[in-house]
Amino acid sequence: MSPKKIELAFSVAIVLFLTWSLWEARGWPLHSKLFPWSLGFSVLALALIQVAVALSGARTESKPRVEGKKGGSGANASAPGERNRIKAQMEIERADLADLGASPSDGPGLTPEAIRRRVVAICGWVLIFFLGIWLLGFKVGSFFLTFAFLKFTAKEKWRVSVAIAVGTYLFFLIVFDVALKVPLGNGFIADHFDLDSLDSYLIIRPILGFFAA
Amino acid sequence: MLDAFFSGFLQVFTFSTFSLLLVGTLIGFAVGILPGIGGLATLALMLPFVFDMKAQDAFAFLLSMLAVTSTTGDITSILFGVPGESISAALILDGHPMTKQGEAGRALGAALMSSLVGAVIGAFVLAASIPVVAPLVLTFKSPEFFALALLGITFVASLSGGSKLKGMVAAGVGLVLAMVGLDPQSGMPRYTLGLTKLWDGVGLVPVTVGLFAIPEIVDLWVQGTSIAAQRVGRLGGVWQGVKDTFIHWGITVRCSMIGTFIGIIPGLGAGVSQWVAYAHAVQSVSDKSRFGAGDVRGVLGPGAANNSGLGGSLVPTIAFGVPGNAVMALLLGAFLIKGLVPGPAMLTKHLDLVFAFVWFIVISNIITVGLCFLFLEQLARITHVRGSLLVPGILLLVFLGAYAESNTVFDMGVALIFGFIGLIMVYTDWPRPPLILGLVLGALIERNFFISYEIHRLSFLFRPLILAILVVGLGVFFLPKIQKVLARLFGIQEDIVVSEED
Repeated sequence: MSPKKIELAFSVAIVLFLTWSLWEARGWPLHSKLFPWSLGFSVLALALIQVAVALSGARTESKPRVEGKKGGSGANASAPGERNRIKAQMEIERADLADLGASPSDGPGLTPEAIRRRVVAICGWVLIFFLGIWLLGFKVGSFFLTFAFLKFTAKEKWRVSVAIAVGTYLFFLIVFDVALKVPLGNGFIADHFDLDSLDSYLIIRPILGFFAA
Repeated sequence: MLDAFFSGFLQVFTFSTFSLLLVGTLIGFAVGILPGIGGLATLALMLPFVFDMKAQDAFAFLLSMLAVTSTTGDITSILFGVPGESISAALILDGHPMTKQGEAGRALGAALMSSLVGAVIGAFVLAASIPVVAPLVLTFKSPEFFALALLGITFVASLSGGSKLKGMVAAGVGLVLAMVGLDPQSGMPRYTLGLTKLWDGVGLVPVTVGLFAIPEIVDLWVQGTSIAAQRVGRLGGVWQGVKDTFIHWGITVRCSMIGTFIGIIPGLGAGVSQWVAYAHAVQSVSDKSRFGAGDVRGVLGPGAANNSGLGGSLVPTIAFGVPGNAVMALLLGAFLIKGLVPGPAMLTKHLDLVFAFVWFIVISNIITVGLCFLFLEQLARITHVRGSLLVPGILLLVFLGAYAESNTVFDMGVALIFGFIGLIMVYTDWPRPPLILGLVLGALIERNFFISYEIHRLSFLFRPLILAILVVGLGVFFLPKIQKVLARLFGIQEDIVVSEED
């Protein structure tokens, strides 16, 4: 999906959000809805103008930038035009993805498809980090998440992955538990099973066992 | 008065006072770098320790800690694109791109030196303005605060580059988000979706770290290189950054004054002044092309403003006992703990202590900047480490920052959602600062709008000061178009009409 179409969708989403906010406020007392309505209608008007601007931008973009050969009929006659259109679209996408700071020339052989995969991968990891910290807490979560990311996605060596993972665990332990005494929570799993912390089960005992062995 | 000024200076260098100033500086140094653990939370944690201290020792400890957090908060904004403090977010716009271009040293040097200049100016404005500030602050009532806050939003929306329309819509969305929570007038929940966790509203820190930092993490991973895509040799850029502060002294001084005077006005603070200063830096130069892509002036402006605000915000706190923000409210608690009554008594019986406050701020900033310069090379080297090694650490800092505001996983979810929204905004060229500023100013604007309406109905919009402020706002918003029209009318080149910097 091109940036112009995403921009149009985002602008429409904002209009829907503002419309919902005005609708939600309709049953409130005057004092509560005075400002939301005063503000909301003005911003909604601006947002509708923005949708119109985005719509015209999306329509302009959907016209082919490079015209194929005119005349003729059938697939053969339109094929060069079609190829040019696809090539032009790829050029657009290449430029658009460059907005994300990526350039196909960065790193060996990065195509727009590879860049798109990296974006999806890192977005997935952001979500995994959130879930991991929620489930395991900062200390334990940071250890496993850091190790998993470095070893399996970044393809770093074992030593580097383990060292950095241990470093992040120690950072949370020393700074927050020992120095500041600021509780960061033990995670949903520890709370659910009424455990003091997951450290001793998942990190400390295995490490002690490793050295004992 | 001069006696009190020098007596205040001498008070700093007694053994106990100076030791506690150093301890406070070190704590503030560490706190500023950690996202989410802000000056407010740390002040709350440290407050119980001041019970046994003398008054000057207590304030040396607390003020030095506060003075330093905004300076070191700039470091992570510049290096990683993760704001160490919410008041350091504006430095991401140009500081982080400078880092990506291998100019981390220059950006850090500029931020640190402009912060020092800002802190010094703010502190001395505090010293000079206390006798004269009373009529100024008392002139501003609810309608004026409402108009000033709107002016702040207009300033920032106008730096949205080519699309002021997107800027105004983003600001409007931020204002709507600010209304999430319990209505301050009637206490009824608004836009809370039935969740009690939203009764306190949407947290500023989770939104800020999500909106700015997560897109940077995505960018770092997609690039597949280090944060600094280019190497620019050794850290020679640090001294260039220091020199930049004095080359562009006009921007530095003006933005320091902006930060100080916005700090004086209760309700506004460094969260607002950093953006207003950035907008001013953009508008005060003819060549705006590099702003947002690594212009050192985009670092100098907010760097100076966010550090000068402490001196400014102390003015109403000391002179009237009116805390301008949550940090000052807690500091007022320290006043009461030490048996000091803010108001005229501070300016008569304890004037030397007030001047000591000035010196605490100045000297702690000098120490911090000195410490930072010692470690800058090591700090900037981090930007040449492989991005893949940094991604986990930065992600953890983001979620830590979001979590630390109110110790709930819910805020981490807010950061996550706004992270993806920020990604879409970057991809579709929507500006993010106006949304943040709308969120910051929403409560203030609504409160003052409501009070003004209750007292004056809509006639408050026609008060002279309000009209003047609104005209200034419209002028700022339409200035480029006015300049183009003038240029065409008088047949002169646009770059001569556009105001030159310095």
